[in-house]
Amino acid sequence: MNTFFRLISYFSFALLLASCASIDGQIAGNNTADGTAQDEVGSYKYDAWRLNTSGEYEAINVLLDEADVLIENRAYNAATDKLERVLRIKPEYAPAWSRLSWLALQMNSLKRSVQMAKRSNSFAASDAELQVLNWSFIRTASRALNDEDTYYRANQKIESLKVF
Amino acid sequence: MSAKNNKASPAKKRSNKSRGKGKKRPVKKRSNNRKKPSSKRSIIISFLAVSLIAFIAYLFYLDNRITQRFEGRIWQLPAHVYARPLELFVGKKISTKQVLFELDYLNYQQVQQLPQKPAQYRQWNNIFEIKTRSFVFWDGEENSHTIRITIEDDVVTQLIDIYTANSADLVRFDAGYLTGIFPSHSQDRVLLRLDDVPDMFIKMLLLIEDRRYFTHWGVDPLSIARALLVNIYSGRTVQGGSTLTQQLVKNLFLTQDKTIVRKVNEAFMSLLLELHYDKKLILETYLNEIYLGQDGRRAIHGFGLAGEYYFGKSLKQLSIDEMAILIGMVKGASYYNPKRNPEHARERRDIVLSAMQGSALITQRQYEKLSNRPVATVKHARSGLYPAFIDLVKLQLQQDYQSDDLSSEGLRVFTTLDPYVQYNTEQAIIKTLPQLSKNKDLQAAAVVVSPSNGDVLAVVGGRNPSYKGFNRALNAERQIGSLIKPVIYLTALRDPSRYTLSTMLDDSEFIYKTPNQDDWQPLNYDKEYHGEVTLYEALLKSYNVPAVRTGLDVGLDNVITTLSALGYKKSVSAYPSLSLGAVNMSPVDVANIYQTFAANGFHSPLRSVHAVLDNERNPLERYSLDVDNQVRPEAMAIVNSALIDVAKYGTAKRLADQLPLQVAGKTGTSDDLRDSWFAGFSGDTMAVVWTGYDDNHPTTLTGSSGAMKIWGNLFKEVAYKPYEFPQMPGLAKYRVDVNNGLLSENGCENAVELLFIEGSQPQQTSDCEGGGESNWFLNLFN
Repeated sequence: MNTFFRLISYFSFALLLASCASIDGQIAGNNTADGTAQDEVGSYKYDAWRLNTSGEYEAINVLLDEADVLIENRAYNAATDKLERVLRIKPEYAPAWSRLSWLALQMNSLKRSVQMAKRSNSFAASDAELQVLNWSFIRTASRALNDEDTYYRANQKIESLKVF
Repeated sequence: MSAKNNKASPAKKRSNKSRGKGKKRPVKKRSNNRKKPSSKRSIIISFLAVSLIAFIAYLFYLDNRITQRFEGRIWQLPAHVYARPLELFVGKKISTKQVLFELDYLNYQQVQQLPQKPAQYRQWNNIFEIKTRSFVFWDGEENSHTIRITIEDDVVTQLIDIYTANSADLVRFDAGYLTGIFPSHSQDRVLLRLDDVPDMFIKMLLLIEDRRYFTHWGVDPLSIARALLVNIYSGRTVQGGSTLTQQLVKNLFLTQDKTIVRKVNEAFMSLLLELHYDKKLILETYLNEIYLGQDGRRAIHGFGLAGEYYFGKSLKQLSIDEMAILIGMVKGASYYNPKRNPEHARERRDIVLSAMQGSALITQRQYEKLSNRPVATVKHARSGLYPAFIDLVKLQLQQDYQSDDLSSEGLRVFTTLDPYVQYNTEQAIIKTLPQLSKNKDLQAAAVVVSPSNGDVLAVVGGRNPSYKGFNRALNAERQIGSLIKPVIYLTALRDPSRYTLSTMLDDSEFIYKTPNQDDWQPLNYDKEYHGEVTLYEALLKSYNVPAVRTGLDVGLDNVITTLSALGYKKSVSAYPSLSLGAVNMSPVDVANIYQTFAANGFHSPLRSVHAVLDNERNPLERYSLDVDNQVRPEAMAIVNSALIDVAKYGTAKRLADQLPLQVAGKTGTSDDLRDSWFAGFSGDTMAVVWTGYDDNHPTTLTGSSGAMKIWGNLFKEVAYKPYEFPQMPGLAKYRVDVNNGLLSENGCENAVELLFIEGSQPQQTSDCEGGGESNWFLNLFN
């Protein structure tokens, strides 16, 4: 059931972003990073990030819970710190890198958001949904950065990954 | 005197004038008689008036000194620097040996029963029961936990909260104190608020030092009289009559001279202090000011720090006998120092306990029990350890803080130092260097980094790690030799249409000609040429000539661009010898570059500080994890796959016998064996080691016979996770004949499996030579 909900949330979010992108058609040069980030990724559902409760990495879930509370309170720096603790425990945990990318978007750190999303993708070779999400962060950030090449590449990646 | 003379002169003139007019003599006489006492009186009055004015002015001066100090910041507070906290969770890779090390490092006390107090533990076999200390981190307070840990095969398999019997998901220990960054006077203290001080401690202190503290006005005549009588009776100074206020005044404002002037000043200032300020504030200041011993250059001030320094506990956690030792030290911090003179400390403690019993603060039975306890202090002071790492911390902090602020604002600096890795790095150098050379001038330096985030885990700056002089890890910039070769080949492999691991490179005589300059002819280490070799073989065997040709072919400017993408931002000259590592770098510089290899192309700038708090423990600064990917990940994966084979079959093949897990790395040797380098990584640790002489004279060591041995001894202790190059779409392995770089059939004895970007693999197939069971090529290396 968890996996099912996770898939649903990933895909619905990806579809939402794709539809936004198709309406826009091209890079909106005057968009502020803040507004874009809020519009496109503000409603992300955090429950999708949980590891299976195998017991082995319950520590990670505890930190993710704490990060969630901080995010709810818009304490993004503190949430970032919790996620970095997650990565000290499990550096290859792609969802944590992805969430750092999301947090960077919220804090208007656009280049950082791109790099965190790329890092997440480097660990998410077998997770198409997460890759779609990361590319959507990259697309959002690159649009605000007026980086056309990256924006269109991100669009292409999202389209190609939707096939899976 | 001059004032007196000046006053007298007009009187004399008036007197002479009178004598000139005879008739009026009696009157004048009367007048004279009347004026003489008046003149004396006026002299006295004037003198008194002037003295009074001077005295009042002096009092104002003293008062001003007191208020200025008390209204402003009373003390310069050094920054306190902490190691990373140990975090435990189920699945954490850690040996029982490391757990014991960490507990010892944090001054936890082993007990036989279930630990009742913070900082206690008991152990049997692979099971630990620990009560941790509470601690304020940058993200809030971590409460004390009482946990049971089970470790099997170097992994935490159970972590239970003893009191609730539930599993504990994540436990963070307190962070170990590393050192302070001190102001010039080197005073250190942990500020206490009066509310933080146990009532019993206050009662004990006042009992011993100043019984009428809350009733006198700063000076206690009764105490002075009593002390005077005792001293006269004894014929020597055995007792002081100073109040706590007087002691504080002496310590804060005056010298230790035993002069009347100082004593008078002390008395007046004490009265003034009490006039201005509340007794409680004065007492709190006293508790924080009192000198309680020396730790090398660091002066221990205040009971807060003394509790931590001598007993590894906060004041609240001290037992009564430990409190008595600290209070006993007020009389003579050196003579009654429990570390240096435990017998003296014990005698003094018992006097304090006896006085307590006499005043009914404790019972006779308690006195007997407490006075039978041994004087037990924590084993070792840690101040001043790890100077090479602290240099790096200062370097990072100086980007955001003035050096004055660093040594006076009482900052709490949370670093990335891993004490266990630091200890093992030091031990690897201390134990291995004598095996490499009998010459004690041979030096070494090492930097250990967490690959995934650039956290610096350990730094050693020389063969004597606690030496605070020249820090080779940061400041010894030496030629890096063959450590540059992975950078050259990474630059080449970014273009798979031209370069792959199977590309044949020319290893024949090569002479580089430059107009108006001498020719340059690079040679291989074995002084031979090997004809056509694959790029893979050239990297494994660290051949020089193919590296030079490749560097020139891809363009030295591109190599420099790659260096920058890997994290090296300093200026580099594009000389052909760059391809052989004729560029000077420090071990930290090299670590910055190789972290990017270890993180598969994602560079994280080296970071030695996580967070800084102010002296009120409010967060000031947090240094976030940063990543930057400027190199093609596929090319990086291919280079790393070859670096794994360097450590299995190439110049670092001895590591395969030494280590139980897969690692990747590269040896480096500069001209005439002046520098011996090794840079390599497992899945969880990356380290760079350098050995050589400070005066740059040749060693007899190559990268593999020198630095690599230290590296191997280090990784035996600290590396848990094997390195695997990342799986990514678009990469595939093919078997290649290393004789000609063509595809090879399974079972061919000179075939090896190499990684390619899909489509860039050789298209032709080699004729299979032989069909032996063993791999001819790899056996060749062996």
